Amino acid sequence: MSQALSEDLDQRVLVCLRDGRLFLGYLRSYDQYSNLVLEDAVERVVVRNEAFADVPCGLRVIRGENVVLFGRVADESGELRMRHRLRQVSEEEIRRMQEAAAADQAAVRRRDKLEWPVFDDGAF
Amino acid sequence: MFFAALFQTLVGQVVTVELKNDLCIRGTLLSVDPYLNVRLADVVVTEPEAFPALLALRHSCTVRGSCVRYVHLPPDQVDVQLLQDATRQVASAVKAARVRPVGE
Amino acid sequence: MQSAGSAAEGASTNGALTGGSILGEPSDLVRLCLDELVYVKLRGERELVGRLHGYDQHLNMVVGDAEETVMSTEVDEETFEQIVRTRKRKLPLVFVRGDTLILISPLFRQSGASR
Repeated sequence: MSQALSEDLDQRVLVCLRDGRLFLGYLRSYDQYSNLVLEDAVERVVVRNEAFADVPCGLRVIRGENVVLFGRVADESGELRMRHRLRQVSEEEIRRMQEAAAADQAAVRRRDKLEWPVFDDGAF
Repeated sequence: MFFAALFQTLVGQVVTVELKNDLCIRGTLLSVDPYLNVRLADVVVTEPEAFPALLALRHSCTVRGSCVRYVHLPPDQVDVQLLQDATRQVASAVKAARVRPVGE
Repeated sequence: MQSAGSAAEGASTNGALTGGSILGEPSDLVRLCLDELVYVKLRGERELVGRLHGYDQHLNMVVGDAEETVMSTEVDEETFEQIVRTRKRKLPLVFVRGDTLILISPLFRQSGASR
């Protein structure tokens, strides 16, 4: 991994975490556990495949065990392909949409009387 | 270690990595390490509807080995007879090392 | 008959505690499954039936000509009944990571016993 990782150093990378959250930032450092240091990081909050917002969070250290995958997003075309499907909204707007989506899910859960699967160690 | 060597022989081939979060990524195998972390080039997310944000990925992408469920391999690129023989050899070696620890 | 003392001694000189039947260790049974049809149960309500081509000590495996069955529970919109849906697909050659594995069983033994 370390040899491969060095190519991504100082590039803008997209990191996908085990809980589904996404972070973008300049990869400044990494180690053998794939712990990552992201500078000028943003959390990319995506709701219902409709919209996304980039929430700035500065310098971030991400623990390797929570990383699912990461890769470069250096060029514009990838970003454009994504924007084709998701519209960018403000942080306030995305938080409202998150709450609405969570409420919908809770309603479905009550109706189905189904428990959510346990994701702590079951899924990974 | 053993499967890392197998993946090493498949560098340059197109494989599909299926993750435990049901994400499927197809790409050219660039490299693999002993933890079975894999690096893919020219990545395509097979279900962009489910993970539209990953469309931003380009060039290459590194997948952590522990998050992998399956790796779909090209059958014509793997000599299964060779693989079975190697498995038997490695299994014997592992067992021998365990039954007779070094220094005994 | 072996006394408890000598069994313990045997274990210590072997450097490993081995289950004593003619089958030997669990890994010996997996080895017998090589190039045979196997049934593999995985986490996430998944099952595989296919030919075992390779495995390692973590029980990472390569299975060929496999059929995967995924079971999922859905709730009927009108009757609120829970429906178990199964989806099947063919996997020509697949590497399976060992940490998702629940059990592996040789199919030739099962069919031999039932007939």
